[in-house]
Amino acid sequence: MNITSIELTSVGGLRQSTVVGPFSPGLNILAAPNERGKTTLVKAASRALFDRHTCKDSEIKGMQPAGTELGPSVVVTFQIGAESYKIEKRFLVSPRCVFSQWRNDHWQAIAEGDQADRRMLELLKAGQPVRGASNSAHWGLFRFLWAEQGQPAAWPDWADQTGQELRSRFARIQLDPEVDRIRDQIWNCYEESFTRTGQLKTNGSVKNAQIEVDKVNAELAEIAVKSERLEQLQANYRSLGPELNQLETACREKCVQANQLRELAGQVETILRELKGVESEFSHCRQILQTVSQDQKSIEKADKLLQVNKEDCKRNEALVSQHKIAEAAAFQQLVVGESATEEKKALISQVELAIARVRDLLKFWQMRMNLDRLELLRKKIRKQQALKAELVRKCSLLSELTPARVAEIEQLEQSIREGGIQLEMIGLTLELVPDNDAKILGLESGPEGIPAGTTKTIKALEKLELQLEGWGTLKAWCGSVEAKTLATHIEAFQAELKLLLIAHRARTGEHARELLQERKALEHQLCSCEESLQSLLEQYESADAFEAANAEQEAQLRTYEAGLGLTAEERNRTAPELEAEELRLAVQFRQAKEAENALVQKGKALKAQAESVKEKRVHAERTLTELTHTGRLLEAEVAGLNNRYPNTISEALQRAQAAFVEAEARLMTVKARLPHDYLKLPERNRCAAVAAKETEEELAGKRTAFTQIEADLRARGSDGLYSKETCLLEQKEILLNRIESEKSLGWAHRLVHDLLEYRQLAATRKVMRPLEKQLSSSFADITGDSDRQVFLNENLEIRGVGRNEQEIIAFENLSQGAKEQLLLCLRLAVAAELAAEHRQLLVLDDILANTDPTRQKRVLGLLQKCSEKFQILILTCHPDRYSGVGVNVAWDQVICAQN
Amino acid sequence: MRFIHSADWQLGARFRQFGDKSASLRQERVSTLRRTLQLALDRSVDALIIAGDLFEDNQVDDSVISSALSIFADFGSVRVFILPGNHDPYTGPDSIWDRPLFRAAPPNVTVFREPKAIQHGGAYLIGAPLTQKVSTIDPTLKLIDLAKALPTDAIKVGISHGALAIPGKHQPNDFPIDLMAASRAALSYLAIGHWHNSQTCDGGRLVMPGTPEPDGFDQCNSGCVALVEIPNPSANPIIERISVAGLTWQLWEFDFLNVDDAKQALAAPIAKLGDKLKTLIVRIVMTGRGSARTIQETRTWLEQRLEGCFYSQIVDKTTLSFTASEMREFQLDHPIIGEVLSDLTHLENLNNCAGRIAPPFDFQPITGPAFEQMLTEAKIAREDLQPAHFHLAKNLLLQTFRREKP
Repeated sequence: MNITSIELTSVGGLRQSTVVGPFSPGLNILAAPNERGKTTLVKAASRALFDRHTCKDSEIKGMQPAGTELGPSVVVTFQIGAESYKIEKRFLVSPRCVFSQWRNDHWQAIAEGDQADRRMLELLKAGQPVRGASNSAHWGLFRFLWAEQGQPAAWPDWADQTGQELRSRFARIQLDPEVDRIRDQIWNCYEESFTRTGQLKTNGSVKNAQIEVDKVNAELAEIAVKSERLEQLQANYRSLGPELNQLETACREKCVQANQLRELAGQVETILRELKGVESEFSHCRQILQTVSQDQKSIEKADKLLQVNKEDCKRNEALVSQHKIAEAAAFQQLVVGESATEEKKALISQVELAIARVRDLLKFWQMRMNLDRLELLRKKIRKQQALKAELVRKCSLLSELTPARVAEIEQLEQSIREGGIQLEMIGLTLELVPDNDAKILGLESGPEGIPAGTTKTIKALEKLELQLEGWGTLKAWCGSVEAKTLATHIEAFQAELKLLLIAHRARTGEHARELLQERKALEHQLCSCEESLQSLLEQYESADAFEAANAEQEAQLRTYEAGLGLTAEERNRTAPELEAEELRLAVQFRQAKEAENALVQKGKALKAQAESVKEKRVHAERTLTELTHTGRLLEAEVAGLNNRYPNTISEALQRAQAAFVEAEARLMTVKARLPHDYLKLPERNRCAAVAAKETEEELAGKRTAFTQIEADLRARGSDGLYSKETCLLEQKEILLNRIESEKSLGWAHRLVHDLLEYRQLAATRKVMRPLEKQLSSSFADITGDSDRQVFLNENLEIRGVGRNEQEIIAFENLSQGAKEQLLLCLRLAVAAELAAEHRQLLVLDDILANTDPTRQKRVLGLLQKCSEKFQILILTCHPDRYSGVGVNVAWDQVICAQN
Repeated sequence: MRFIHSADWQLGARFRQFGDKSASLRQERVSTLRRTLQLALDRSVDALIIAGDLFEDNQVDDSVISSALSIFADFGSVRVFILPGNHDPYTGPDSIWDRPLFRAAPPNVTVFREPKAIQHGGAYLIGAPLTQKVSTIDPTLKLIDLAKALPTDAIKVGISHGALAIPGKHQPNDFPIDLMAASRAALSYLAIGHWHNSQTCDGGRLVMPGTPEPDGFDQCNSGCVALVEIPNPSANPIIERISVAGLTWQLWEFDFLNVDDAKQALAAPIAKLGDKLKTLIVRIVMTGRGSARTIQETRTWLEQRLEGCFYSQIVDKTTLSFTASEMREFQLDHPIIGEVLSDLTHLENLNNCAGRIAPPFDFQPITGPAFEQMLTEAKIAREDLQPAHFHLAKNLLLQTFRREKP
């Protein structure tokens, strides 16, 4: 389709009839400023082409001029192939529609009203919504050919029928329409039981069957638990039978054993009672025998001890005498040693006194020397203080000049000098060249002669009065304002300088600098003086502190001297003499001290020896006393024992021995009647009774358990678990078969569906390459980069751009400019494909907003080239960007009001 | 002495693969028992011996027991001797034989709850019940001592249950019975049960009659009871096999190599069955290659023929083939459908050992990764897919295609 013209009446801002056109069959540039209605024009044309004239949708109402109830009217003339058509539509108010064809040099109406709407749609192969206004989805192929304003990077979906048709055309094959229908049918079957993600569908037959299987499984699990319990009971039952038999046998055996042991224990008890009486008699005889034997042994032992005691007493008496003699000798030696020690101690005291006196004298000497040193230091300090006072006085006499002040003075002098020079330069200059020798009077420097022919230059501020000899008076004046101002400044500088110099007692600037140098030197000396003084004072905070310390030292010396009470000889002694005396006395003191120590050690040894001898003597005396006492006790004991037996002790012993032998014989006789392990018999008897009882209890317990198991088994035997399980398993089998069957069917459906989809996509993929090449070529024309390719996906959507598959930059990551250029290429390819049938209209509504000038220029070349195949309408508010290409008609020229 | 020897009734057995027909199959065995009792009455036998496995399990429902006891009670003049087998062993209080129902069984019913010999009909019936489900011990060993204690000139009929100890044909723990067990115990006849196909050994004295009502397509020698007559202790038993089964089990094959011949081969036996068609349990396995249309037509033909039978099952193991016109149609008009069919054939062949079948026209099959991706998205595990799924998918596609474009 090629648009020839568009006429709008009462549409948007265009209230009056407006005709746009005629459009050329090639490239058309519709340029106008913003808000002039470019986009409204194209939208209105699309409403006329694709919407029912009776439609009252808000989109249609939006065409009405604001604030009016006018009926928008649109007339579009266009060509399809060799035929020309016109569609006229008025919306909302008295809606009407006339579809005409150019026949025999005039427009001939071929349909009106709804029929005209239908004819239009058939002609354009477009669709319509059931209700309301159409949108781009209904516009058939036109939606791929209209790049709307503000959406340069958007591309319509290929999925609908028109998109599929277009893909088929690109694919150069007819996509099988049967395949889609079959695929849909198969998918519907699949979706009855499954979801798109392959899960079982809720309330689907497979899911329901699965739920039933789960229920059956739960019931089967219950049966399995019961069966397991039953098997466990059977196992227990089987194992308990033999156990019971064994236990009964064991129980019988243990009862017999316990009875036998009980009888034996009774017999043993009788024998034991008899044994107890015999043992008592035997014990008495043995006790008597032991007593007599013991007494006899005691008498013999006491006799022996008494003999030994007497001998020991004699030895001890001799020993005591020896120790007494040795003790007397030792104490005599001790007295001699102590006397010598006392003598040595007296000598040491004398030496210590002499050393103390010498040390006092030495201390006195040191104090006197310290005082002399301090006197010397005091003199130095006083001298330094005098020097400092002199320097301070000199400084006070000097002016308070600072470097800044001096710099200020220098600056003023400099300003005055420079001012003078400037004044001279801008003042008055006279050059005199006399023919003969001449003389000038009245100069500040006095009269001056000028030889003939020489030039004499005289400068003055503003006036000059000279007396020229032989000629008369020469007066010259200069009225320069600068000279006056400068002179005023100089005077001010001079006054200021004068005040400064006076203030600082300086005659000139140079003098001021000298004064400053002098002051600096004095201040330096003062610093040095203060440092020296500080060094002399050292630890003293000030000179006064020093004086106070000095006086205190002197007072201490006088006090010490008075305390010593020095003799004349001592006063005359020198420090070296005193030091030698101290050394000598120290040697003497050490020798005396060593001698004293030796004597003390010796005294201690003698004392220890005397004490030892004394101790031995005391010990010997004590032993002698004890031995004497023991002898007396032994004599008393022997006498007491002999007194117990009226006859003799030997006779008593023989009688006791005879009684003991008789008692022992009776005891052995009774013991021989007891069993060898009669002591363990009570315990054995008790254990056997307990064991028999325990076995009986165990047997009773087992019997009870066995009876219970038997009853339990009998009860459970009638449960019919197998039959129940059979019903459930058969039910489960039916369900599983159903699930398996439906699942297989579902999978088969899914396989067929997915494979059909896969093959359809593969078919698209196969033919995608030529389109990719075409796009790559167009894009290279725009970018100037022929190395990059454009890649599409199976849905013919632009995947991205890159040098190869591995280096693709995804479409969404490209710049806005690249995106709009790529989609322009795709639109051009679509238009070119459709133009093979008949010419098409491509509308580009201000789509190159992000394209740089270089590429813009290339795009124009491409558009111009394409406009040979199809009509292109470019809407723009930048006419300069499209100058020189296509039919560039200005907006004002193409719109004309019609009455 | 004349008696009927039967075994392995397996009353209450489960039939999982027969869906809603399972209950009917169980009921049919009860009917067969009634017929056998009637036979016993008709032939005036001294006894009906059931050599084990009257019931499928000790835990069958009381209703199963009641139905059996009811039949025994209906034929009160027929003495019935029952031996517990490995399916219904005498395990104690929980076994069928100690249930109150059986404790109150009709007086003509005797159960061997312990090894013993019972004098009846001029002979001694010696039985030793099984008390567990498995054992490696020959259960007939117990009969030897029991038989020794009896007069040597008496007719002695042993009753036991277990597998014949044929090398390689029995499990070691399946109560192996020596093949000469009858002679070994000096028995006139040893009635045993366990296997569902009939067996005879030891010079005709050791007999396993097989199940009276078959329960599998592989049982070719079953569905009978043995009518045994022993004239005197030294005579060989005279055995007559009498069919009592109510249902006929058949496994047939339908090969598409020659469809007409195959149809004729099946039509004859089906026609021969006549009214007995309703007792037929049949499984037909379709094999070979055929077009979708032929296979569907044949399936329909078979379903019509088998209408009214007790149970029928058609197992489709065929391979689809395409006619030249079909291939042309796919190549020219519907290449995508042709490619998908080829993909399915290719995938079916990958899962099938039957060998590769050339696709209808040249094409590149779907790649492994692409197919795996497809399965992942559909949540189908690769290992779960069988050749049958691809076969079914092909059929579905073709059926849908034919519906859309007949």
